[in-house]
Amino acid sequence: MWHERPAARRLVASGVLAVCVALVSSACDQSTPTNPQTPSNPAMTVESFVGTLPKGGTVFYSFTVPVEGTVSFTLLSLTIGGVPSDLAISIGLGVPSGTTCRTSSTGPVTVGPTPQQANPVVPSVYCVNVVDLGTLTADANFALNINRPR
Amino acid sequence: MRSLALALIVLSVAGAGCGDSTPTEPTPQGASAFTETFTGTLKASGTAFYSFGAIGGNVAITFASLTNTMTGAVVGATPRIGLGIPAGTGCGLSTSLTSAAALSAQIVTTLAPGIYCVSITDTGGVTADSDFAIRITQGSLALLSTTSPETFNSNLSVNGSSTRTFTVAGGTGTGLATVRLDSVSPSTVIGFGIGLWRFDTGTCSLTQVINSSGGAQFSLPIDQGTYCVRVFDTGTLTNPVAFAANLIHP
Repeated sequence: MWHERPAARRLVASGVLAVCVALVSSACDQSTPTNPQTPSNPAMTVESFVGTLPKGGTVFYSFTVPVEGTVSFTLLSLTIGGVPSDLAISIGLGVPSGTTCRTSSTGPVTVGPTPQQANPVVPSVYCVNVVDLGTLTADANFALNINRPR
Repeated sequence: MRSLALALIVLSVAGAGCGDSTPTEPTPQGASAFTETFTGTLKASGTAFYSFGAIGGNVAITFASLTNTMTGAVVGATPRIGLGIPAGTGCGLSTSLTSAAALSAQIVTTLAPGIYCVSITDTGGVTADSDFAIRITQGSLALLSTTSPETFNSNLSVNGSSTRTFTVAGGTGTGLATVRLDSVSPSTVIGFGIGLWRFDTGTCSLTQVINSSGGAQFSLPIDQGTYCVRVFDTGTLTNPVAFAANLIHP
């Protein structure tokens, strides 16, 4: 059988896939709490995502994780009109899908020197989605570090 | 249904990985062939990309339509079409080429399961916002060709249009489609085009257009898929006309 489907159905499929992976991953963690599945010390690298987050907007950045491990995000700076801001924006790990980054986990973060979010991952292509939560008063420049296995 | 199937596959594969110290990425298996269409607006000097999951196997990328957003006129530009992996804020291309819109794939390749992207970039031929359609086909579609040859005779009202869809079977490779506007009565110039049928919007994304009062025809390579012939008033009709067209395809 074949399906000539709208992009929306593909996005739904991707979403289902992501949710299933998250659920099963969670279940695995609960069943083996003393036996973490992540390799102990995969070699890591840092990618920098520097850009402008439009007021009310969303931007994303894609990256490849070649081996299992943990991806963490650190929002290093957020400025509006050149002035540092302590406003929270949303950052989430996702999978590139269509013209967007379909996130499986998101959370509000503020600028800080240490990772604000960490996610276990298996080898694949991922993206980080950066979203204005509705609090920006103007376009904001940001710098985000992506620490990932290499 | 496919979402459910994917969910079951992922649950099965990922579930089997519990306790395994080196789980591998879940891979949908036995997924059916399908198409998806990347549509959007390309600005002058602009670029756009679209990410998709490959199930593993043959993938055909067809840049099928580019039309002026305001007027709907076909744009004869040759943007760069590429295939790659999402990287940074774009699509990291592994292959690309420049091409005019067509109904046979410009890029055909075999992909391992994973996440990939297609991109379109203006190379200077786009001077105004233009709507594009790029078809991504995975596998050989279990399509049956519609009747060929087929007549398409109807009436066209003032400011109106008339569309006929047709299907080219999967597994037939690239064949030749010929569509001909035989006559317009009374003799009047009308628009006559061929393009990609969009199931998501129920519209015809035009690939080529000719203005004719009869005798015009297109002959162009065509792959598996569903297409459309569109006859429309270009703004010159003052009274309804009758037209007769003919379609021949694989």
